[in-house]
Amino acid sequence: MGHSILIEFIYRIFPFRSWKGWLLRHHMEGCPGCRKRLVSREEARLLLVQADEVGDLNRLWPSIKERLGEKAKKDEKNLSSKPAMAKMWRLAAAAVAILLIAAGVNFWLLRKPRPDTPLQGGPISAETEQVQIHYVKIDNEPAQTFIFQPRDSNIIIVWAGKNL
Amino acid sequence: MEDNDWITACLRGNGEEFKKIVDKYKACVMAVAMNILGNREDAEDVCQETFIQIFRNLEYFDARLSFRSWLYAILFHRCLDVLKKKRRFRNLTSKVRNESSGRFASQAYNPEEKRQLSQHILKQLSPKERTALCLWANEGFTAVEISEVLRCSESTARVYLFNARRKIRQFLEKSHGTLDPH
Repeated sequence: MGHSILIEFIYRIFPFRSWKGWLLRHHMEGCPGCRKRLVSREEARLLLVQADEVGDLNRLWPSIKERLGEKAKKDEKNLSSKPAMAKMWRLAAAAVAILLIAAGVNFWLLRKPRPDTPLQGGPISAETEQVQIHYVKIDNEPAQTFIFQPRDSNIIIVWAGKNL
Repeated sequence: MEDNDWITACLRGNGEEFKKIVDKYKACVMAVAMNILGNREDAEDVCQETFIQIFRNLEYFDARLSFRSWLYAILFHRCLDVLKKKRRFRNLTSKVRNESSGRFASQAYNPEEKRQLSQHILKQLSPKERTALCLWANEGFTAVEISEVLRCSESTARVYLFNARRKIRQFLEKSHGTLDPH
């Protein structure tokens, strides 16, 4: 009795399962004294429901079969609707791609030039529209005028010359 | 070996062969489920779920391993799911029960019935300990086989089984109970 209590104390003081498993395998399962402190297989069986005590299980297979049949039908249905779904997904993806391309082209065509872009050949910006020379006259006669803007500069030079 | 033959037949599309597997194991599976869960209704549902899961996953079964261990491992995890759901439900309703426990306390426990006593004793064990005890006592599983079902190491399986056996012995000694069925 004292021996079993000592072994159980040793079993309890170390929390490691591998140590406990080793002690069980190498001592407690073979020691008659220690085994007396455990319920035997026969005693445990008296507590537990046995296979021959479970009663009528005839309903089990029909319900399993029914549920497996339902699942098979569902799978079949899913399989048949798969091609239609795939076609729809392909169409949707194509539509999205076309819309994205159209939006990109639109953005590129309608984009505003940057303020520091030189005026050569490009569209007239709001800033340049403010500088307007309607009539440049020299000696009360219309003059020949040239307007130009040096590259990389905001200076606008107006050159007027007398018509000869 | 016959298990593997039936499984091969099932995988070839002969679903009726699965009935043989169900017929062979249904009583044992039901008994283990009843011992883990403590009631027949839940055990029946779990049995159904287990066999359906087995059928759907037959292709993943490794024929080199024990079919019995695989079956009981699935059963054990289905039982754990049910116990977790019940625990959540119990937590939700515990307030109501606590309020009414005074009124019904005298009707809650009837120690005369052997099955009720057994259930009361088995409730002292954790689900893993109950499973280990049940597989060891009813099915003759070794620690290695129990570890395959519980998905733990062999040492851990030994510890679960040892704890279960010791707890029951201690409980019986404390309550001077007897397991004599006569």
